Amino acid sequence: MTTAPEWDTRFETVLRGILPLPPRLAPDTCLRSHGLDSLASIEVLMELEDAYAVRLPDSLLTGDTFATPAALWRTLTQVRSADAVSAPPVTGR
Amino acid sequence: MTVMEHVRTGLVVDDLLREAVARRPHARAVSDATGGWTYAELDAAARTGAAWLAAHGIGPGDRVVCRAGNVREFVALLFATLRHGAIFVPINPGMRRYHLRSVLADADPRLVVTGDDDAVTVREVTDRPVVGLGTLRAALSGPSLPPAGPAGPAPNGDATALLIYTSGSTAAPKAVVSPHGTVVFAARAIADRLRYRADDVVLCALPLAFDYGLYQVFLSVLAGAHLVLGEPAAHVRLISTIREHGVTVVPVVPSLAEMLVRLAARHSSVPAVRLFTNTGAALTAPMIAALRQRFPGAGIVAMFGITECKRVTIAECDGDRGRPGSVGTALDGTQVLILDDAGHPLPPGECGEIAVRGPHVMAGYWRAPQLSAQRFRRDPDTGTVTLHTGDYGRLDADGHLYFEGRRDDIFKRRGLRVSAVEIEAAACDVPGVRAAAVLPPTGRRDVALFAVTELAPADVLRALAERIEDGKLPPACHVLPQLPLTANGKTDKRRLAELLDQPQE
Repeated sequence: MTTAPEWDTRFETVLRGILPLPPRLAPDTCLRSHGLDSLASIEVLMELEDAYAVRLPDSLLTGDTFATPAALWRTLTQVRSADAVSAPPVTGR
Repeated sequence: MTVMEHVRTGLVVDDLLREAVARRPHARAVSDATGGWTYAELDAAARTGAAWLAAHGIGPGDRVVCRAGNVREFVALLFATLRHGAIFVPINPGMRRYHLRSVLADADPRLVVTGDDDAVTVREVTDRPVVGLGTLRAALSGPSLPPAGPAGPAPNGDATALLIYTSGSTAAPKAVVSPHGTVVFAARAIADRLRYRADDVVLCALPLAFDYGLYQVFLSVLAGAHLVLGEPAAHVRLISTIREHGVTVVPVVPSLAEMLVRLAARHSSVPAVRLFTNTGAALTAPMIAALRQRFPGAGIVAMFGITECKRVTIAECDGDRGRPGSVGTALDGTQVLILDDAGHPLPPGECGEIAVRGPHVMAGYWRAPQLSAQRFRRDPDTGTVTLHTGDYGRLDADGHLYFEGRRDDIFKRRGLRVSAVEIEAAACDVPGVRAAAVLPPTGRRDVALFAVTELAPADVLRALAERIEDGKLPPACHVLPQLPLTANGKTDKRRLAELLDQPQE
């Protein structure tokens, strides 16, 4: 059951830059058991926001959002399609 | 100062809640992710909880372990247990099996309350009754049980209220025995300095099983303030939590401060936090500056403490401006001393072991008389107990304490006395270094520096060389994406040592 990942390479690059992930990332890989503590969640969040020039509203940021690559990609995709035009630039780091 | 007799307040911990209920029954007491209680509701939940404990056969002096995480039922069970005369033992849900097994064997509990998800795991490591949080929640919100009637004589100030597990430097975690009167004294002495107000909203995003988190309950109740509990999984939305509840006070360890600073950068307007307190591990000067930049209205209070006496010193608000690096002066009615290796007091300015006397010194370690006698030393003539903290530091002429590190963090290298904390502070002073940790040398390897930075290791070392003497300079800098943290948010130096000993990749 090896299908092409449902996310793009940019997404996986961000995750790999922060988390010590196994060579093969499955949609249901448990990110928490691969080093995703709360500080790393914030890092992942901010790097994804930078990489895709979007802002994930806090209401979408639950523990479930960061549970697996699939869940995180789903949230990101949802926000990208909703805000494709109106996303405010993320500034002020 | 010689008045270091053990002052008895005559109060038990539950009296703090009773006073708050009498003063402000309808004010918000505690909220978590799913809802909140007023003081009257918290009191009712504690009453129901006490009857529920009685129904489980819990008696005075029995241990009740709570591993429920940052939920309001934790607070209800805390007061229920104390009201019932039993001993409350908070355990971090993040504690791994290996430690959990030995901690549960050591605490010898009559009941373990844990998150529903890991009740199965907990049952595998203990033969004691294990109850899921859902069961407790149902009991607390169900029809109130008939009052239990006193399980025994009401607890007095000498009775044990809490066992607080604290990780030692090597062995398994050990518990500090915290009597009611001592907890009440410590909570009040801290409250006198920090002055939480009735209209404050206090965010406890630290684990409630960590004493810094746990005492937020007592401090909030003393003030009649509103305590908001944050779970670690919800840290990404901390700024929204702060805004939704109108949080005014935030206790932080460095990792939490870093999260707040980074998250605040995502928001255009800043919530009205008025006070940050810090202990556990000290905020670096750049982190303090970043907090001030992101939360311009907030004051910052540096503190120093160890579980064995709860809190040692508290600085004035924004005291770092006049005395950078100071963690403040001794709590009122208590004493801080700096001792040489023979146990004799050292004059101001000299570095030695930090020792503590006063009514906040706890009653020793649970079931560990030898270790207790080593750290809680009783003068054979006066009976006065001096707590030897194992931490090193110095006092200035005005009694302000400066922390230099754990005994294990201080070492000699090329004839120089070096403190890991000193190198860490110098490394964090290098622009571009977000966090740093230093491991003292061992027989097998030299001193090791870890840094979280975009800079090249050589650049970190070059900048560090401008800040500390050559003999103190580590030979190499290991760059990490982040520092590993313990469950309490402190740098996990044991894991760093493992990284060195068994390099990955």
